[in-house]
Amino acid sequence: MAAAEPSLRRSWSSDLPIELLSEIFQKLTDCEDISQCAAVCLSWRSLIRTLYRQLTSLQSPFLLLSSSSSSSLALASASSNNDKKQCYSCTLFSTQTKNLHQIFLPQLKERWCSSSSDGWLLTIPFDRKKNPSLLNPFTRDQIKIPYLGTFCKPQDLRVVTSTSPLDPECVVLAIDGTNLYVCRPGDKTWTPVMMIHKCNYGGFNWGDTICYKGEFYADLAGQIFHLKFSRSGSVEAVSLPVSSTGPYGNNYFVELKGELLLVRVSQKYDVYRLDWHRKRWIEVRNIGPNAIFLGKHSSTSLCVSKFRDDFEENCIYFVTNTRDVVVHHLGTNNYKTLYHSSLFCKIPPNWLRVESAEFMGSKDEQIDYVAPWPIIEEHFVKLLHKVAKNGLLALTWEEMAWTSIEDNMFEEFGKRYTVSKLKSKYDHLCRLHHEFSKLLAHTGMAWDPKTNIVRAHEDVWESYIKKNPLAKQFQNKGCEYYHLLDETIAYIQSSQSYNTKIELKIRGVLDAANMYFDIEGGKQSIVKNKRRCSLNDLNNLCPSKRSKTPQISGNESERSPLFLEHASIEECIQILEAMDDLDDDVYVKACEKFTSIDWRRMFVAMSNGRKRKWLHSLK
Amino acid sequence: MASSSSSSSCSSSSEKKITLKSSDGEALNVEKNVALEFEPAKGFLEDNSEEADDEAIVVPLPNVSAAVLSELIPYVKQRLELSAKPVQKKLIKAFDDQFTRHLSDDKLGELMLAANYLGVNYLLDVLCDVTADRIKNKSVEYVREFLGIQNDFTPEEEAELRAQCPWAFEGVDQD
Repeated sequence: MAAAEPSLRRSWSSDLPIELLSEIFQKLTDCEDISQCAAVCLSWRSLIRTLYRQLTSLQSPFLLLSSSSSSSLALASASSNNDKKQCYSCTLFSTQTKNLHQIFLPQLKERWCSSSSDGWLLTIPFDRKKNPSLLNPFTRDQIKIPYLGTFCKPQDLRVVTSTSPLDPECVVLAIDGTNLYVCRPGDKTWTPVMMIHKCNYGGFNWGDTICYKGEFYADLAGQIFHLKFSRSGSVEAVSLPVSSTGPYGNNYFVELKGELLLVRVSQKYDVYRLDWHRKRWIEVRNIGPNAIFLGKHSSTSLCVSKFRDDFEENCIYFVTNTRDVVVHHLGTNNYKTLYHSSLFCKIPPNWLRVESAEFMGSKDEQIDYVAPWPIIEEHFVKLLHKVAKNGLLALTWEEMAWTSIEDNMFEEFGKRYTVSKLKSKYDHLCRLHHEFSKLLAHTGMAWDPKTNIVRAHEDVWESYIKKNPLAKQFQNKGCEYYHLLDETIAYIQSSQSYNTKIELKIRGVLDAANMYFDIEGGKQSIVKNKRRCSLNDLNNLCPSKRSKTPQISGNESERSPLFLEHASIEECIQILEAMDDLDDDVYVKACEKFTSIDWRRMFVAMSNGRKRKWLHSLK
Repeated sequence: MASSSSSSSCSSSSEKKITLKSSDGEALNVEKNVALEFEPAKGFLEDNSEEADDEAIVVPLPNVSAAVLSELIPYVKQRLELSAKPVQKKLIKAFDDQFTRHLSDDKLGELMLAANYLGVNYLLDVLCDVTADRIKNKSVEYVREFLGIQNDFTPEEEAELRAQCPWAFEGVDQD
């Protein structure tokens, strides 16, 4: 090594741009090196902290084999240097390279460790008098969690976090036998999770738990529970109305490509995915180019294609009772052993997985307006309509109403859309509605609500779209829930006061708002006939066009037959009811179909004989 | 390494010489195609393209010393000749290895900063590889010394690290 002036040496590394340093870290292929670099200086540690979800050396799951004092035996074979026996370290087995890595962590002094979520370790002091901690072996960050008193065997204590424990919003869930506790980093004490209908489950230990899309779910005797956080700070475990998958077994939850999976391990491996909408588990026979890693403390999944030959697709990697790791192929049912635990190993191995950046990114995907998600949208529109009809979207109730809408959407689809996103979805629908009203008021446009197609001469379309580019989306298909939205907006506006106009203005529906409110007076003058739809007002404003668009003009009485929904659910059900020889099964199936307007229209249009044929095809 | 045929193939451009002025005031004559590999020089030449006589142009490179430039120029020149031919990647790698093998740690750092400033990405990539290689499987102490990094952990944190984990500060490989 050439001896050089210390001042010169300092200069070049401090000038090293952060991108270059990141580049160098990316090229370190060994997780031990990453951990060492995190101990060099503060800026390196913070850089690794921001980078570590992208570092190639941390992309695949590790098997946490052993830690601290118990590691000496396992290490004697792995390391030639026996002097290191007494150190505090944990040993990781890379499932990708099949290498053993020993990470030196002074924080493990006199502590057990097991794995938690997202690549973090849970460390528990031997004497149990101090607080347990969460420790990141790669960035060396450590977060204390509250003292847990006496609990079950330390290797049975499990901790799941909702996100990185460095995030102040993170929720930590501890599973200790029959009890669940939650806390946030920095809390002094744990909050116990309350149980509703506890009597049925007395004596059962909590099974696997998962944080899926920011919500905690836990398995108890084959029943899935959702943890509901109330505003007052208490937490309740609420049983989800999902039928159990059968006899109680070893259930594991895992998230795969954004779906919640349940794997039941008995003699074989049964994989199910949760259909939130229909509230049932659906068997999955093939998981495609993915691998699932199941363990007592944390489970994870991986898209195999990024790793070439290092992992096998359509496989379950499972830690068995004998503490070996087997790879079970779901298609062929063949299995092989990936890792043999040494006889001296007292603690079963566990998966340690740093969630990749892509995965974290996909967690809070935006509501996609472009994607066809008709069921969700239809449900949302109907929900809005119902809530608005009850006058709950008035100013004073609004926040509560939105929260309940959000809750309902969550219960229906198992995804937190958040109030702000739902509001923006509503705003989007309002804009659509407004745009469509404008379009219908235009000369030469004729909308057939039965087929939901706007008929107009090509030239009319062309010139209209030139002026209103947003209208292009209606060229093939009109506004799907136009009448429902129309009523919803009317309800909302009739229940809101003049003040809300400012809000409506922000939401881009000022034109619609103007029709209901007297602009001149600051008083709450609401147009008498509040149920008149904005369309009529538009027509009143431009009477010259009225005669040319007879389909959409007219007063209340004329309007009603047109706006009474053709092929409504009621109508379809009436037809069903009239067929007295119908199976209950078929009836239910048909009802499911009738949630879509397209199916309803088809059904109503069918001849009676065809109707029966179609119904029987649903079986 | 450079064959006569390849040097004649790009002779039209290599005949033209450009003068680069280093941070310590030294002027170095280089072929125009080599100078164009350096981002600041390329930008400078584009800005001053109306000047008829290339020889008269002096490109200032205030962030790079003459010593580093004189290492860089032959490397870039040979690398250009290599990549002009349909050679195997192996050969380029061997050439890169040969170039980096003898570099001292300090020279490596200087070259890296220069390559970064001059935007020579292929060299930067190679140098990052070498640096990663040199801090691989090394102790924390060694890495700090190698890169001249001040340890800025609090004394308590440091004492804890040292007292409980002395091996983390010993070289894992022989330094």
